[in-house]
Amino acid sequence: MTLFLTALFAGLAVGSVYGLIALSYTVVFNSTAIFNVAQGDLMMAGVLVAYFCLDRWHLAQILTLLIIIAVVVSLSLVEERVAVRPFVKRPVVGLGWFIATLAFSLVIETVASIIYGQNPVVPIPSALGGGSVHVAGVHVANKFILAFATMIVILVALEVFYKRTWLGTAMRGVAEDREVAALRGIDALRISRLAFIIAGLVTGLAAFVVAPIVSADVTVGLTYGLKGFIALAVGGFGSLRGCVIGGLLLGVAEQMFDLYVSSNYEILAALILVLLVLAVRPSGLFGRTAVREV
Amino acid sequence: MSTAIGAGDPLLVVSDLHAGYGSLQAVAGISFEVRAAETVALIGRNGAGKTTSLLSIAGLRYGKFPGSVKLTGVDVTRATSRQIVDAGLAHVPEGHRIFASLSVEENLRLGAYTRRRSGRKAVASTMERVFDLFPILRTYATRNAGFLSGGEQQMVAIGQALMAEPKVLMLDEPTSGLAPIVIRTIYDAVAQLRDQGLAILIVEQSVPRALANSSRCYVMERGRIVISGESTTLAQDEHVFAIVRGTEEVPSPARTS
Amino acid sequence: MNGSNALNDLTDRLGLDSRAWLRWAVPVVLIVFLYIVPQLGGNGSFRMGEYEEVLSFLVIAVALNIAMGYGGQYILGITAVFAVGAYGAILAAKYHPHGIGLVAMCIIGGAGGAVGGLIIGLPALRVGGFYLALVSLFAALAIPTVAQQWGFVGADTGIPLYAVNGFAPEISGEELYFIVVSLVLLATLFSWALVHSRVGHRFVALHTSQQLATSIGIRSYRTQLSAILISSTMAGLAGGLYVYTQQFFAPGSSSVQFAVLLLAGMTIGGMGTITGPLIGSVIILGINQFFTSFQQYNGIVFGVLLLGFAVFLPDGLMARVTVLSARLGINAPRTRSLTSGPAGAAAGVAAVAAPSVPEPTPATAMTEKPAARLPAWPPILGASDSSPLVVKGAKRTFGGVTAVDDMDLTLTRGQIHGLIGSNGSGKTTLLNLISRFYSLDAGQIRIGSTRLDNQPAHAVARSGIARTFQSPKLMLRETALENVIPAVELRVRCTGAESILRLPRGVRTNRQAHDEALEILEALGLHHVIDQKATALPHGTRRLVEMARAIALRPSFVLLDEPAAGLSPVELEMVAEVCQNLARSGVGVLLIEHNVPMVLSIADTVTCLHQGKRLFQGTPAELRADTNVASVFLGVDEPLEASS
Repeated sequence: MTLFLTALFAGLAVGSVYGLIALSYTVVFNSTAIFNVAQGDLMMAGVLVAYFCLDRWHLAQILTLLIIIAVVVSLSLVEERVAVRPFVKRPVVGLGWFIATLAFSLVIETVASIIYGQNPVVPIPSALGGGSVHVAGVHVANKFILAFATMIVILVALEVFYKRTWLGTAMRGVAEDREVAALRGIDALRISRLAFIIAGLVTGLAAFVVAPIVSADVTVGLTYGLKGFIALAVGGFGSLRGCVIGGLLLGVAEQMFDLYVSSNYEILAALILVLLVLAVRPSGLFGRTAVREV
Repeated sequence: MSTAIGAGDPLLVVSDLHAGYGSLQAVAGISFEVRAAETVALIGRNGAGKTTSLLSIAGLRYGKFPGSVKLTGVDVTRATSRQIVDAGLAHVPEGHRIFASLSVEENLRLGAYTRRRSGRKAVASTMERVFDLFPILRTYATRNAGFLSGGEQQMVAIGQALMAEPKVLMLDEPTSGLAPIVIRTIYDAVAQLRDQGLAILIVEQSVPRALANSSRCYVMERGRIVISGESTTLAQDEHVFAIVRGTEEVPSPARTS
Repeated sequence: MNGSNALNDLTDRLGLDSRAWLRWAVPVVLIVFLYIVPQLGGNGSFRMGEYEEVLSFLVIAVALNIAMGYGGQYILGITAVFAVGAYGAILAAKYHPHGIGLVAMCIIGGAGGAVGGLIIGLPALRVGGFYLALVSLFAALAIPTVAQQWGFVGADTGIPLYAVNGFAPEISGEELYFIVVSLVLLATLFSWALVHSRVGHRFVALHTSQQLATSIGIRSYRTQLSAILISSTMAGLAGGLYVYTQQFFAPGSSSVQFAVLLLAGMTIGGMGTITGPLIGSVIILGINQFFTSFQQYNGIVFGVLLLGFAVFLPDGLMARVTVLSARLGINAPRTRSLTSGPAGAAAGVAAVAAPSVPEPTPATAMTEKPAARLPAWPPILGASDSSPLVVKGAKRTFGGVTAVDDMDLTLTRGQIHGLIGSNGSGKTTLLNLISRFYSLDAGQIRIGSTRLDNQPAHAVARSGIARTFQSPKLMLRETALENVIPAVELRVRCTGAESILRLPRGVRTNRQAHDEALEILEALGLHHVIDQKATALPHGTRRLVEMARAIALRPSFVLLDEPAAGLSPVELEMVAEVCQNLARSGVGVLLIEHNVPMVLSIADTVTCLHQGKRLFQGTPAELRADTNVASVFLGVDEPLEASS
């Protein structure tokens, strides 16, 4: 039983990582109809910044957080300007934007491996320290709880943002009908830029709480990015709650696969899960409509 | 609404407007004006260029073409759609388009997006006036706009445009596909708005309906205005009906391309 | 001159275009270059191994181009399929070193690739689009990760075939190199042949628009699947080839980064062509392989290149070549016209001045109707049953709105049935219901005793119901002729393989499709636009081309959705004549229109819809006299005057 619970909580923690990435995807997708392939790499960049700030330069946690957010938001804005805006201006046709964001992720990955080099994977200290709590007779690391809590807080914050603020409501409108939004004086290009800033904020925060869990590893950008996509596919495109549920499901599925089948082939858990969901319920658990025709 | 404008002042003045798609000229030089407290109708066959004209005036530009558009005296020919809204023009495109996944209230609120800094009370009071105009929307305030009928969605669309407190309102086929009683409701509302001082331009598919609900009327054919005049006069004119139905060819200069 | 006639015949038979020599020069030069690379860059055995590695990757690029560039299936993770095929081949060789040679490895690789492609492709097919791209990318990530842990396939170190006792490749050195380049050439020729066959036409149609493809009877699921299968098999075959030449395979041999590199090569070269991906891949893979001093920075260079091309030059380098050759005036396509000989070629030359994505030119609009009478188009599809098409009690709601309510309508063969009504009255919905683009909430649609409303849309098209769209749907990068050909291909029976491989029946049906499509376009007065890309055609001409496509199906019923909108008077006359000619030929025509006088002048029966219900049904004369229709529909109190 303890083994099961340990795996469950670990799954919820890792799942929070996926959920946070999925939330960032959704923020961008809901305003631009574009799926930002580079989101996982942006998070990895944030994790690297955390490594430098905490392991190398021994800065304070709060300062680290601010620096991470600054870096990730800047990178997001650059990406928006360079890889996304040309496609948002035209009606979204074809997969040119997909290739562009994929190219951007390649650049980030290469730069990151040049900077970080051949250094081994190194653990990063957590904001809450290395302690753990007792839950249901099992030790749960503080950093796991921080990741999970952050995801929930961000989910709630995003829901409030979309429902209660002018900007959030405007974003939802732009996603529905860009032309009508323009006729009401809502600038779609500004909105998509803002969406990238918000996504950058979410990703930056995610990187901060996730860094102690995944450690400094430059190779995982695309992996986490793809797993974040799987979380979305499972939970349902366009749904904030779907992101969270999908991410948690994926994380738990992986840990259970580790426990009961084999830990060497953990990656198969994600592959099987996504193929299953697509076969049985293509729009995901909470998805509203089928994925838009591209 | 604003009282600084006198009834009869031309609020929308369009001169030699051109618009098109690539090498296709959909609008080949039209000039007209709409004054405060009046309703003007724009009629013509499908493909005559009416919708393109309105979209062009509203700032969804189709290339750089000659012509000018003035709103309350301000030149907005090259303005962005945001600036045009600020200058006092609101356009309701055809097809009762609204934000389907948002509630009626959220839809209306978004109409006031450009006025969001003027405070919650100001926006709320405008929304009240919209509800006075279309009482049925008050009952549906929290319902998702996507679940309303076509006529109700059209009311939301018009209400949304009114939330920006425009001085000029343009409606593209506001009653197409709607039941007669809804058509009546919408035109009654239009009349009220006109009495409050708005300058209103309506594109209408039905000629008699257009003439009955406007004081002046322009007829477009192949990108140009071919007939214009008082609605009561045009109602007697056989040619108007024939042109719109397509049974009569208007001798016009060759279409530029 | 007999010699050039014979050459012309040969090129005709293969469907070639002998005057577009610049476009041909590029691939020929490339292939020659590939053959002589060892002469240029050194032919030591290690070097040759490196060349052969790149060449194997080129085969993957060709495969990916088929699926992605033409079929629109973004299986970026095709490297996963490549790995599956490679592992299959190398395992077979490891355990049977004496029995397995190059051919066997390629076959086993191909089979492995097909299986891998099915596993990845099938579930993602239902959602398509970037889902397929991402899921396959994930598979490309997962396969090497799994292989790293699996002892059976050598885990991290892989399987070194050269260390296996008894394994001795029969072919090696320059002989092997020559064979490998020839295999790349073969793969390229195959993809070229496929693209210019009925299979390739289906891919492009589906890639353009699922609605378009369905309306000419293409089964989208099956077509997508065949695109994935064909390219997966080829990628797996590349795996077998790789293993034979490298005698080694490890998880590191194929990775996600590699998939991105391939994508870069294809984008830079230009995905919509045969040669583009080859050139781009040679450049990218060549740089990656041979310029290793700064390999660390490769990702940045490739990433920036890929980004730049995706944003500014999405059509890639080959598109520039096409523009260049157009500017130089050497790309005039030769029209094999049945009636207009040199005129077609002249029109082709005139069009050459246009850029690669030209704007509609008025020169291609119809200015005069053809003098000849229209030929008869008796139904072929659905001709076995002569019953009318009957709609009974049809109902369809969207959200809270009832678009069509309790609708009855009968389409009789040989008659024109006009359908009028104001915007939103349900006309297009009804057409979509009949053609099965929407499904019924209640009621039935049948022809005789066969029910239509429970069949998929493509089956309805195949049973002889053609339709057009309110906004013409054409394959914009294809010529007018190429837009009509797939409709004929639906009718003339032939397997995909015969068409691709140019077997006798394939050649015959390819030519038949070409000729019949040509006939119809010429009858409609469109011979001057046959070789023009659809994107260069103005609206009216596009509409006529779409009508030609519908006619090419030789259907029993044609459903026309507002064909007159935006047409010039000459084009309008053409449309009216076409409708009448169809009726004369025994086809049932449903004509949805706003242009009431036109409908009244040619229709045998008219139905008037209002808010989803039937307001009136009868002859034009009865409609004119009906004051109810006039007042509700047109809002006037006097009956409609007779049209001029």
